Amino acid sequence: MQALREVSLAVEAGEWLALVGPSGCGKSTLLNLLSGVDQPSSGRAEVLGVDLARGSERERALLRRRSIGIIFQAFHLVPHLSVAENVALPLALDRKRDPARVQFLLERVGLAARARHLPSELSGGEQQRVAIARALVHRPRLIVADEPTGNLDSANGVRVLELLDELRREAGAALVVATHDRALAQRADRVARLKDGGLIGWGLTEAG
Amino acid sequence: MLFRALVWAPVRSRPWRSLATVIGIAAGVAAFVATLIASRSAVSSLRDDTALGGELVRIEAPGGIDDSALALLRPLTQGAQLLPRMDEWVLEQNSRSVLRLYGIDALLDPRLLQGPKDWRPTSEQIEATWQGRGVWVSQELPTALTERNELQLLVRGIPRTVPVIGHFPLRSPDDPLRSAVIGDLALVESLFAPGRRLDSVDLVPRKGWTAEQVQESALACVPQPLRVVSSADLERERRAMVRSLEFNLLSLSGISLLVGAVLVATALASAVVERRKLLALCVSLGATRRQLVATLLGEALLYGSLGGALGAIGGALAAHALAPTMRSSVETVLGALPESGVRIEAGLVLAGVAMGIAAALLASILPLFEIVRTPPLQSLRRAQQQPLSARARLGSLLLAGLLVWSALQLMHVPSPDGLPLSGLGASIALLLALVAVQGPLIDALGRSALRMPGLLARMPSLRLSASALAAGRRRAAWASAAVGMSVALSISIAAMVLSFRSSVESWAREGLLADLALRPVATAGGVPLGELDAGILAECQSLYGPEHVHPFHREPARVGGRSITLGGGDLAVVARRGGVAYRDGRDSREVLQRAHTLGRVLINEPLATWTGLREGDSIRIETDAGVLEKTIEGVFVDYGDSQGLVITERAEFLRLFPRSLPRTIDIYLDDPTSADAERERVLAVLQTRFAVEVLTRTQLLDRILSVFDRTFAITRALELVSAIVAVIAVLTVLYALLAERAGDLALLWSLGATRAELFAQILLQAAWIGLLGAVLGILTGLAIGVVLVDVVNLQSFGWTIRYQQPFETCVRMLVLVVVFAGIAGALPALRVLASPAARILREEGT
Repeated sequence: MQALREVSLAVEAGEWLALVGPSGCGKSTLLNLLSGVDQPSSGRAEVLGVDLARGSERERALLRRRSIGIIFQAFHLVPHLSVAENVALPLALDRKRDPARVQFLLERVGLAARARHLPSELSGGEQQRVAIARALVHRPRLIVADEPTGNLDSANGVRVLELLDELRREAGAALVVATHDRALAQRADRVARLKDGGLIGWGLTEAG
Repeated sequence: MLFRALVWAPVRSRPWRSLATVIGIAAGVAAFVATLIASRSAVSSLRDDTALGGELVRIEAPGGIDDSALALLRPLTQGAQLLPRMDEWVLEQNSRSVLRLYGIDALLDPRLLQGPKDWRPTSEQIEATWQGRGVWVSQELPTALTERNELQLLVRGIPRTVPVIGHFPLRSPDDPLRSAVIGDLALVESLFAPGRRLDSVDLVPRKGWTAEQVQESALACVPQPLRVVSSADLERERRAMVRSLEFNLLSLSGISLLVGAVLVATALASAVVERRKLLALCVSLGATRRQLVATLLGEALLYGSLGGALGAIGGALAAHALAPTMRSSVETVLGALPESGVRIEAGLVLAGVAMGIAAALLASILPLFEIVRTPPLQSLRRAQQQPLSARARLGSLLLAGLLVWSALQLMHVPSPDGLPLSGLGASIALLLALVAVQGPLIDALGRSALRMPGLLARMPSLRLSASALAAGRRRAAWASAAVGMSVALSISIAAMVLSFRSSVESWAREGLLADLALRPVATAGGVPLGELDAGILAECQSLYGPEHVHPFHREPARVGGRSITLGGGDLAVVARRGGVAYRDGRDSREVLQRAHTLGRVLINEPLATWTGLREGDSIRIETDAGVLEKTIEGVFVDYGDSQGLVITERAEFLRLFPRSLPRTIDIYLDDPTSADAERERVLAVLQTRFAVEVLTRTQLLDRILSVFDRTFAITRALELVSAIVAVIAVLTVLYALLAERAGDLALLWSLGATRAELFAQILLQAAWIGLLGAVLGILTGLAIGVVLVDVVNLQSFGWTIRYQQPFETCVRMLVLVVVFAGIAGALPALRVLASPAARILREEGT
């Protein structure tokens, strides 16, 4: 079964692209391809100059750790690392230290006071803010987010989204978000509509 | 249906883990069954009450029964047949096998010639036996020993060739007659010395008389110091001799079963974790806790039955391989033993299966708590493991403290009946403390890593592995506990053996000061057997003068109803150079000289421990010549005897046992540096007539230590067992732990960690489990070593041993276990890293 077919799209630096479509339409698969988590079985996928179909395991790992920030719907924080350590994780994987950057991001997401707490001691909204800080700590050129507000109530969802937008603008990173949330998609620079694994159009509606 | 879904299908899908679990329990059961069978077989060779007959009453006396005493027994002939008997252990010259030489009255005694229905000796054989023309040996005796129908025996240092008349069949595989050589009394007497006393007179009840009636009549007419004992009394005495030894061996193998149970608990807990989603789904669909509990118990029963059956069969087979080592250990404590067959008792095998099941059910208790706590699927994600609460941490630490306190208290509780129960209790309490402290320790590891913010950047693999360990605290604690228990067992035994060895070594080095030592030829196991002919002593005395020669005699005696050995030596000869150390620290020369001058006796430490006798006390020793009442001059350290030894002046000893021959002869040279040349000289003089061993002091010390090392060679195997346990524990736990933390690994991968980095991290995590288990196991093992040395050993054998820490073994075990554990992490790591991370992340996100 093909999860994606004949999808051809390019994302510019600093651009916010939203992917919308019903469940099973291929949004997550596309995000996984963009983030180098999955490899295309055929065709070509190039992210930041790396050919994902031909690139080695290590090349794709380096791409993820240095150039891509990932935000998950279920936050996915490491439970026995502190908040600060979770944020610093991409740097640590690249053998780098930047405590000032970690501190700056924690302040920006409003969690500086909880730097030494464990994720289990935070609310859902706070956990997603940690995930955002983690996605930005290594100054990625591309951020991919899969339903980043899916596990949050609407008020928290809006706050998290505004924060994400603000921080990625400051960093100049491109953002690709998969979402069911029309309000969220409306904030994007471009919206790509997917269905049955294919790109069926641009814009929230057929009228675009 | 539920069993199929929750147990059978997962078991089939993870055959290797199931196999490892079954092996874990089988290994424990096998160790238990093999030790039990092998130790029973080794000590069964001590049995002699049934060797020449069934129910009987025996009359015996320390030092033997004089022929004249037979007349006093004549009134007993009405109710019983009186069968005089000699028996002594001798050595087969070429193989150095221990044989038991029995002398019976071939005319009177019908028992030898009674065999199975299809076995009858020929009339020529019967006549030859009556005429004392040869001996009978068992059909099981290796044919090489009787190749030319002759047996080459070494009797009291003199080689003797004895014709073999025939071979009798054995009644059972562990029949003590397996190593028996049976001949007429006159023949056996001639092999030793004319006038040799009878060892016992057996009273076999005649028709219409019971053993109890015969015993009653015997008690009424047998004068002191003759003793009337029944088969039951003999069996009781034999059991008392070996009880401590058997208890210690069984305790040791019992602990190995405990380690097996911990492994099963680890595997069952892991199985519960792996099936957590399935269990949660069942809860959501309406399965009751009772149903889930029943499935786990069913699985435990399955593992227990299979492991128990495999272990029992394996143990029965391994008993044959273990028997020689076990005999060697028993010989070290009890003296030379003849070879014995291995009898597999069906009851023991069934008990092994039952123990496997019991251990598995016991091991399922904690996993049951886990199963009962499984939430419905909808709340499974919220039910992530939290860091240990302060209350739980405090509770675990208090429990560990309480267990350590109990162990300390138990160390001071006296042992009932010579069995080291309190020492064993203290050891188990320490092992349980090790288990109790695992959870808080792993939690503390996670917390301390949390307090080092820079650690993640400096050593990410180390930090992440510590975090993963803390995240799977409960499972990691199980694996670490299993590793720790196994390591503790190994280290404690190593500590005991090292302490024992160094005590024996310094005892022998400081105390055995003779320049030449003459010993009877030793058994294949290195234990000297029998006496030395009077001619050997005469030759030595003529070579060096009586003032340089120290013959030492030993004969059985009793003190306060306890079987002991009475020794006789020339105290003045030994006093010139000194001997073994004395408990009160006095110079041995002073003690020996005072004992010689004042006519006092010396007793060994075990006797002082068992009876509470001290320097200056009076001691009453029962011998066949009457009662000897003496004052104790000193209590000497002795690792050669655990039953009790009293040493008196040789002249006095010979007054009691005029026919006694020396067991050892020590020679003190004027010039100790000439020992090698003098050894050659002694050998040249003796070898024409006698076969004895002449050892220089260095050779004697080497002999003692080599026998010791051979006896405890099994401890090396324990180190390997610990490493294997570490592998099984880490394997079973890591599969579950990684299945549980697969999401975290997938997350790290998605954030840019390579599979190689994750692989290294998992190996590190496995090594952490090994390290924690090994460190705690070493500490616990050192503590249990103190219990074994200071409590169990003292309660079992009455020896004082200086505790030595086995640093070398500790370092070796640490490296071995950590490396093995790390390597064991490779398999689960490869499996979890082969799973697509994207799929895991998707599943984790639901």
